Amino acid sequence: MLKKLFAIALAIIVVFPLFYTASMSLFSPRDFNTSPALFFPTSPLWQNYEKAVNHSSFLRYTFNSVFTATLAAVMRTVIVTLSSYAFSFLSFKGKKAILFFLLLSAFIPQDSLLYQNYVTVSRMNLINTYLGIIITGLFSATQLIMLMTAMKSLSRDSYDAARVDGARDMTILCSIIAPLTKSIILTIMLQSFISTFNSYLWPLLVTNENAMRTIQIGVSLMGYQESGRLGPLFATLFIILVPFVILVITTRKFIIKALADGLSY
Amino acid sequence: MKGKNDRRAYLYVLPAVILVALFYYYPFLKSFVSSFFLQNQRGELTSFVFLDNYKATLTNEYFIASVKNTLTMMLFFVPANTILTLAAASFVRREKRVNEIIGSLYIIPMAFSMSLLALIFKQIFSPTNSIINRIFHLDIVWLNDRTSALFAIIALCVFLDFALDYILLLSAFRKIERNIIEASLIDGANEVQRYFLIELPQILPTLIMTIFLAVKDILLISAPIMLMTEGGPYRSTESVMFYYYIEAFKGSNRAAESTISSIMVLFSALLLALYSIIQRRRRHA
Amino acid sequence: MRKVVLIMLLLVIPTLLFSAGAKEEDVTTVTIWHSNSGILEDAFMSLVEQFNESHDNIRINAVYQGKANDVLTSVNAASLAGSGLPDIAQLDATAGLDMMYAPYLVTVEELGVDTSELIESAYAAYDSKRGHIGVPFNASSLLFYYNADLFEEAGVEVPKTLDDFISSAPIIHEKTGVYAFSGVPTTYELITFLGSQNGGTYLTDNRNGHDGVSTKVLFDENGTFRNFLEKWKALYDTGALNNLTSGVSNAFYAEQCASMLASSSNLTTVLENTDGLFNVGVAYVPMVDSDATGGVNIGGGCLAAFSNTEEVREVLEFMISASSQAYWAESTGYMPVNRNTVESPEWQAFIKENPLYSVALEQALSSSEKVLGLWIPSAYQVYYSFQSTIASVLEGEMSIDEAVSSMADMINTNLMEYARQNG
Repeated sequence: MLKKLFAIALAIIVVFPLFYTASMSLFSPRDFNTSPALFFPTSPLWQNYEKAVNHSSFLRYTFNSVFTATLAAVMRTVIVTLSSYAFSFLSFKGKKAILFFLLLSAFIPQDSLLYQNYVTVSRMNLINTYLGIIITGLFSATQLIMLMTAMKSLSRDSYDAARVDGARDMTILCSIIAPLTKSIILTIMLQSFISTFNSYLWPLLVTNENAMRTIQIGVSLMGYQESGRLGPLFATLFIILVPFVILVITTRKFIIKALADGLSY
Repeated sequence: MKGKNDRRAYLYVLPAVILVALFYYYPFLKSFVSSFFLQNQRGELTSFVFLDNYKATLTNEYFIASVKNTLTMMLFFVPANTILTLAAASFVRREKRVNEIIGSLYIIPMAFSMSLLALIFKQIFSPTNSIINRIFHLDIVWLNDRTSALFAIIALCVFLDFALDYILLLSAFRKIERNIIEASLIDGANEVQRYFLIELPQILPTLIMTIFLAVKDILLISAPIMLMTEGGPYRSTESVMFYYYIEAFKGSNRAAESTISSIMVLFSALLLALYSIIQRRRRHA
Repeated sequence: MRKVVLIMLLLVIPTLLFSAGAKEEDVTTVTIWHSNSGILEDAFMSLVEQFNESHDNIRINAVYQGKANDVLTSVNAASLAGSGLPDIAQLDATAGLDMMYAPYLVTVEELGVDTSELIESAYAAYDSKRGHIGVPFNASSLLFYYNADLFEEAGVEVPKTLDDFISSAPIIHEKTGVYAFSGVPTTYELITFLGSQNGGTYLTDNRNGHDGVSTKVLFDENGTFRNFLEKWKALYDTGALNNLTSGVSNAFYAEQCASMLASSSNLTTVLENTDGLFNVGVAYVPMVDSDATGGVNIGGGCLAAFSNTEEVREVLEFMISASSQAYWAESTGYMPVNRNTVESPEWQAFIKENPLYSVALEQALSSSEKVLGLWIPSAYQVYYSFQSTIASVLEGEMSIDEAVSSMADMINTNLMEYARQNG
């Protein structure tokens, strides 16, 4: 019984920010300054939504975020899959050394190389481009390990048979290997999507045009905060949140499975 | 098959090699080499000063404070995060309808991205009229002293990592083979015994992983601090990476940038090595 | 193999397609990175619109980059890239040192902007050894905002000096039950509190860094910081002062404090947020003592140019013109930097109607030229270090002498470190 109570209490805590955002999105300026704090607006100020919709470029921000995250997920998956295929099924000179070179990168946190990477990317003229936002995150050593482990656990028989039939690498990869490691590939895509979608400092540095900003940057730069116009800010946040909450809840089985599959390796 | 050289393989690994060389090794080496030199405005190395840059950085009182802050956050965040996510996963680990409903609420934090949540938390922990004070009948001026500001940042971080860690732990629980649990039932183990003696050891590798991820996240924390407190009040919540960010980008302090980069890379590498050793030991034990 | 290349290409193409917008011909775009949010942004954007409508061949592209210091961060980052700098950036005093040495900066003199109508002290705030780093645009000064109802309830006068406040603050606290004042001074306030002493003094040598990088701080040896700390500690010891570092305006709106120090640029925002709640008054910043007659510095920001073109000059001249400045000042609380604005009958009528809007300008005009923005390295960090040092003194963790030498050491170390790294 106590356990149930805790479970429910935890659930309430977890949901509280969502509820409170919804409530604050209807606060008037005075409601924000009322002390003690209010749970509900004194009278709902629907204008906040009007202001939110009229003012901000949040649709553009959302598009940018979803687009870059999708693009990064696809590109990273392709890059990781191709190299994993090469390491798992092909033999070539220097294979071990190259693999070591790639895997050792797992020991270098990119967060602490922000400045140098910024200099590199800016010299490549990728400031204010989608490619610039995602380029530093298009490879992941841990994901390469995951996929290689999965590929190596496959039986080589079907690969060898296809090879004897003269099938090309792409045919083998797409029609035999990929379907067998589908769950891991999906995991990699989802992980990449989430990490790109959530990154903050990097896109903040490499974008300085409003049209190129992602949600993460856009909302924190909407400038409502400093001027005490908090109602429209929370209205905007709520509009952005609702579809994602629905998405996360409806696809939770898929998300849980995809993230959990990465665990086995 | 042995001994033949599939030359097209080089093409397949080329993108990965280029990316790793360009965005991992090159910046690290550049920071590392620069850390022994002075640089001019354009970033060209001017004169070799050996350890002077390290001396300047490591003796700076705000850098030292940032190390302390990062360790303090780690000390509180890691246990808080571990206990809460483990509790959440444990509560709903059996596949029952009511658990499915509560469990689906637990992954809601995944819909919040970091900056959205930081903005919301900033208001929840408002110094003037915090809803937390209203709910728990407290009288705290949030974010106005080091303790309350650190608490708010840690709360934000727990929330940010909650859904992912919960999912990982929940899946680990549900992957435990049924016959292990059933065997324990036959042995007459009660619920508590079963949880601590049978299930927990089974999910230990995952638990260690989530702990390690938490350590890594807090070691490299900067954006949540930027959005929540800007390092304040009184520069008391600056983490190492936040300090790095303001020195590198706001202060144009090349010495601090290159030395902190180098130190942090070496430090995280050590940490990761430690983690691999622990996990390998376990596997062979 | 060809398929791999094809896949890669397919992946790269969309990223390129979306990257750059097409440019219109015959119209020159002038990009301004600005720091105006909320009410300020509304006012700024309508100035931009006015300009764009009246100029067929020039279009201003205004991009918000965050607070003034964030604009500097973006500018520094872009300068590393070697390209992508805006044509104009709105910067504050924290950018002074960087701009003085920035190779890409075009000084006002080089650009040939007509500055004849500018109020001299506003223009002088951006004077450096290489010329003016920008034209004043959003000029502000520190103001003492007070809740007139609470002051009346307590029956006290608005303080002229900290000594006055030390005696009146406890009365306010006692009679109204709210703090007399909220906030912890930063660089911004200290330029006034320290710089105004003895009729006007510099905080660091080389004219607060305007004549070249400072080599040392002066506020330790000349006793100004000690003098301020003694008064401020006495004020704190009355129990009527609240050390709040964030959300000060919100505390003021929520009537949790009776007064605060804030930039005059907040005036419209404050009035909007307190509308119908209580009467707001603004006054000159209380001086440390009666010898402190230096007044306040002209803060706020300037527009710095990074492209030497006719169009940029035209935009700058538009922004500082009498009519733009009148519109800007009336909608925000910034003070007009154009003499003709101030002398115009429209402005006179406006301030007669809205007397609060004239206080900042009068205060600034009666101030010493020695009270000047501080151009030092790591200005952003120093801003918060001042707060932490002052708080330590108030909470008894540090003696006043320790605080003075600790703060002086910190800035001196920064200056030395800057000299070490930049020769």
